[in-house]
Amino acid sequence: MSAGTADKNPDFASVLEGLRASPCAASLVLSLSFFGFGAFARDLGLALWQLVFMAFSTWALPSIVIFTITMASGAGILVAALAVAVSAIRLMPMTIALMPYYTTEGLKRRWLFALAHFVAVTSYVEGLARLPSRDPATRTSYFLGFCVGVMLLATSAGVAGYLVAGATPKPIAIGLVFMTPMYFICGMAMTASSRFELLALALGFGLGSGLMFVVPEFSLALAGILGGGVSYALRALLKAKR
Amino acid sequence: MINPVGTGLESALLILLACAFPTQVWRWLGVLIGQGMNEDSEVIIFVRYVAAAIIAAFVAQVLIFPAGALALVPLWLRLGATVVGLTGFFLSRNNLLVGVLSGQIALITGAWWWLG
Repeated sequence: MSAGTADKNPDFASVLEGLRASPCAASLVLSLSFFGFGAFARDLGLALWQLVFMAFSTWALPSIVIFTITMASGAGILVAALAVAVSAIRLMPMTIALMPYYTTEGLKRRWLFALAHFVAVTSYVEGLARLPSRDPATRTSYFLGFCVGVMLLATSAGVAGYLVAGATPKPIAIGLVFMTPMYFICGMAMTASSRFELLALALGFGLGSGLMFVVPEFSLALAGILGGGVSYALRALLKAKR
Repeated sequence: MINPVGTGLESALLILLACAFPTQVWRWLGVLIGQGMNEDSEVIIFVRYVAAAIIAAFVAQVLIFPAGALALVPLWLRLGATVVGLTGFFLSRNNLLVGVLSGQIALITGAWWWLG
């Protein structure tokens, strides 16, 4: 750890390397989801620049979808903001879990916030898969390039979806919406480093559906703490037994 | 057609306020809380489990209470296609593309048949 020496700027060659690595299975899946949302956004009457602006400023497809759908339902700004905030809570534990990999290069603090801008399921899954094996000295620069590349690819796919909207048959359009949940669950299962993390996934799924009927506003946070907590406690218990 | 988020500079402000900010604030908190943590510390392990549970909960809610196009097909098809996708994922020894594509094929085929 380079405590106190966080004064570097990204290494350009490593940023380029990351950028070149961005076309991959994960960015393809994300691009297809964005393609589907592009078509959906046009059906709802959004402008093309608004689609691009939402992608760049928010960079979390579920947030964008929830915001758009809530606004289209006529619920108003406050309801939309709250709905987005409730769903985006997942980004906090994901950012915390990525931070140890973001700080090894000793980049200036502002670059940490720049990297955090890209935290989403895609970068979480890909980060945990790619970062540990990379040289700590250029790790963050590489990942910055990678994330920028994924953003450019997926946003372009969103624009393409917007432009060809209406030409997609209904079952395909439904499939493109299904892309996000299917990718989220497979990506998280791929990232799981132990059976306890898989247990957390299973518990989260059950709790997420059950708590929705009891405390819809806090169901995600509660499912996370309960599901994650039980899995962690079980791991600690089995560890202590040995 | 009326644009649900409005037009011009006003809509840009609305997007920043009600879409970007409520999302980013969690990331900023994550940076502040996560500083100085070690990758194999117990806290990080716990946080990873919490993240996994939240995302799975989110997926469950998207599948069970869908908004938009996904609501056009019945619940059994949405859940069934997810099971097919996960089966494909685990049978292919954790291949992401195989998992997502097998789930997709199941859902699209089912949707085609369901919608007639």
